[in-house]
Amino acid sequence: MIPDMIWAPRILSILRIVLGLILLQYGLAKLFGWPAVHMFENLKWLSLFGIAGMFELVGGTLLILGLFTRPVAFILSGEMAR
Amino acid sequence: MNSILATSYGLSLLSILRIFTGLSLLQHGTAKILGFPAAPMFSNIQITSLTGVGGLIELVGGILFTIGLFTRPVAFILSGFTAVAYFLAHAGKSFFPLLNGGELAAVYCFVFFYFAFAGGGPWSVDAIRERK
Repeated sequence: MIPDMIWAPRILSILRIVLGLILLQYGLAKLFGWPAVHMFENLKWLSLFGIAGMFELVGGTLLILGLFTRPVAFILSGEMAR
Repeated sequence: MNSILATSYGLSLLSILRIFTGLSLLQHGTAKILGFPAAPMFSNIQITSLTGVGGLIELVGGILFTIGLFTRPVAFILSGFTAVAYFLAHAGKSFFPLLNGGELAAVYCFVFFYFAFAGGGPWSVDAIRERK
């Protein structure tokens, strides 16, 4: 069906961008303290949480841009399962 | 961009995502309406209350979405339903989904919206019905 071929890929991109933004929040909150989350205060960059924050920061940014989407998504999928 | 192989795997994974999302939503419906899994928050829910009606939508929608029957209209309704849930229950607390506890509702909303356009993929009752 033709409308599907037009809209499904575009909505897929919107879904990708939203997921990237939501993930990016975690990276920003953990590493830069914004938005401020009580649980993430005084977080060390080289702790398990800090490294997860780096994944979320870099992965979220790449996902929003849609750069290297497939490998990035695969790595983030693994990070979430961990 | 897409090899045929990547596309056919992608479609199967679309169905897997649909089934997992449907089952996750179904939990909320069964917890509210059938009391399983037992959630103290949802004991003594009136079926005609806002939460009860929400539970009915989650129960029926979750089942249909999981088996992939009428995927598109069901996904569209569930997308609207989860959007309302986000704004009713979460958006007032904070602008950031990270802080207002509504990120799951937001993700549900956009995932369902995508399925409204993409359909349920090859592993769905819709696909079986189309083949006949």
